[in-house]
Amino acid sequence: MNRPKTKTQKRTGLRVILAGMALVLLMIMLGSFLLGRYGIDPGELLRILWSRVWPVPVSWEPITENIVLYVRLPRIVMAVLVGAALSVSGATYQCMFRNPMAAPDILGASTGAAFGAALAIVAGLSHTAILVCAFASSLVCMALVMLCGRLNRGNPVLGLILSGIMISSLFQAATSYLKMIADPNDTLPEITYWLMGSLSGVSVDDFSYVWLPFLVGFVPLFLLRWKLNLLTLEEEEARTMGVNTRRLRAVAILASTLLVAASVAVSGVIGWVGLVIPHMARKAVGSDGRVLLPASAILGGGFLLLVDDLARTLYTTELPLGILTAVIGAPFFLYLLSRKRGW
Amino acid sequence: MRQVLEVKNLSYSYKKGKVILEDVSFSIDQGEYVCLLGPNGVGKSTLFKCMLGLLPGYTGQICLQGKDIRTLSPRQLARQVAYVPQQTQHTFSYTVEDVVLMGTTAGTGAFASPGEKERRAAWSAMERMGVCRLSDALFPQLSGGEKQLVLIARALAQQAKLLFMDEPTASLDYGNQIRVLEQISALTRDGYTVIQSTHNPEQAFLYAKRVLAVKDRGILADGDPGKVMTGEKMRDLYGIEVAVESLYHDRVRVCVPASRVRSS
Repeated sequence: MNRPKTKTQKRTGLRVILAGMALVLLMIMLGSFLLGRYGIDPGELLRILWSRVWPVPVSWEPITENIVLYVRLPRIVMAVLVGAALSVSGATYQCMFRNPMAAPDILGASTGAAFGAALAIVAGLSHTAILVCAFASSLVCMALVMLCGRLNRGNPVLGLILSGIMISSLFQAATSYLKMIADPNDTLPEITYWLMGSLSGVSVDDFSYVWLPFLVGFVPLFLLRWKLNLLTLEEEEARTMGVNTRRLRAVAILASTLLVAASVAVSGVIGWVGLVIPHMARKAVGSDGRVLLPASAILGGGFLLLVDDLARTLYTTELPLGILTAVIGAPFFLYLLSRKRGW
Repeated sequence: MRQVLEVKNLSYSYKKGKVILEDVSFSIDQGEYVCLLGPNGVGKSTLFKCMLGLLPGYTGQICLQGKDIRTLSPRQLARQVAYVPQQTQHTFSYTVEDVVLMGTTAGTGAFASPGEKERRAAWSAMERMGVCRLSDALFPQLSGGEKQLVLIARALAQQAKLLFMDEPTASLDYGNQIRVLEQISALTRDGYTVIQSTHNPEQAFLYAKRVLAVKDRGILADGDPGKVMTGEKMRDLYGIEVAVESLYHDRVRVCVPASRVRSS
């Protein structure tokens, strides 16, 4: 009877790893408050944050409080949310397409969302409309990619990636056209900068329209995180085990594409996070979705927050996030391509 | 013996009009060990898929414990029949324990993760197949024989008493073939019913109590391997001359290609 005990030990080990990751994420989040041109004392920061939970005598300048709560806090939380959303959707795509190279930006989900959002920006629509357009366009793009991916029967892994590249470039071309007709004085710079990915414009108001899509995206995926494992099996194998693969796949794709669309609507196109982070999480905790999804969320949140910290402190002007993640992501993709052993 | 599976007038043809199975009928009792024989492309896999509810486009009737499988939901079906696939390529590396746990999914809710009950079922299935020591190993790194035993354990964890196995010994070395077949044989002694397809008729002689030979869209022979698997039937089945010989006072039968025997 000592065997189930080793099991418990293994699970406890994984829980410790997850808890450790969460702790590191929390440290990065606290540290990120201190970065920036306006210096903040760590003790003061903790007191200001604590004052939101428990009444504390005010011993700080009002401007410090404003910067902490209305400038840095929304940006930090959004960086973590977007990083987590992109990574979780990447991990989900990998499971449901049985494809280690699947990721929101490679499958065209991000490019599709970007086109929809750019269209809404050019049309001068509201934030909510931008999000809805991004989601719809992202779904259309994914559907096209899946359809074209089936044409290559010999190597479905490669077929899906190639059709993703093809459809992405179509949507990119359409976005370029939008840039051409956009007003060069206001909409064009907005679109251009935002296409490179940035969190610099994030404010408290943004949460009023992204909380719902993030919630509707994250919750089903976390509830289904065990079932996602069964999607990695052969279709018929999973069905003989009583899994309604079609319904499961539909829920997974809708939820993860919603996460991508919400991320793109709020921060523009940030590539590579959805590919790199799930693989790092796989290395750390294995393939089981029960731990892989939480680990991807935590690592992705921490990673994007660090990248965003770099983006706003490296130079006097802000760097677009997409540039930084590409510098890290592209070499990693080459490493994945050269790998021969299992995932 | 209680009848667990009954197939009545089963016919199946693919969309292009090619008839695979025509008017196939047979029934199987609890605890039987049935070997499904037949040349490549004869419809053995189609028969499996129909019985597993994966190909709903058949005509005729398939009943499990007297109930038409068309009236059963996928989850109800999964609790009665489990499928052991030929070795499949899995994209991602799961531990053996996770692979076996996946078998318990039919018994849990739509959003549920496996709990203590499912874990116990998985461990007792692993115990049964002697793969507990591998629980933390990664499935793709196992040997062929170990993988097969793990896949059978996964089917046992599904709690179904009727097991379909698609060439469980394909691509195994001789020792592992025998090890796997002994385990399957032991399962049937404990009340499990097993239908396995194989390309090796000697396995039917050694282990099966019954053989179903499929050829030309229907059943060519059905019954005790020693009685129905004659040289003549083997020739009809595989299209080559086969001599069937008995050894050890008819405790074992072997097949030899007749061309080899004659030339010596």
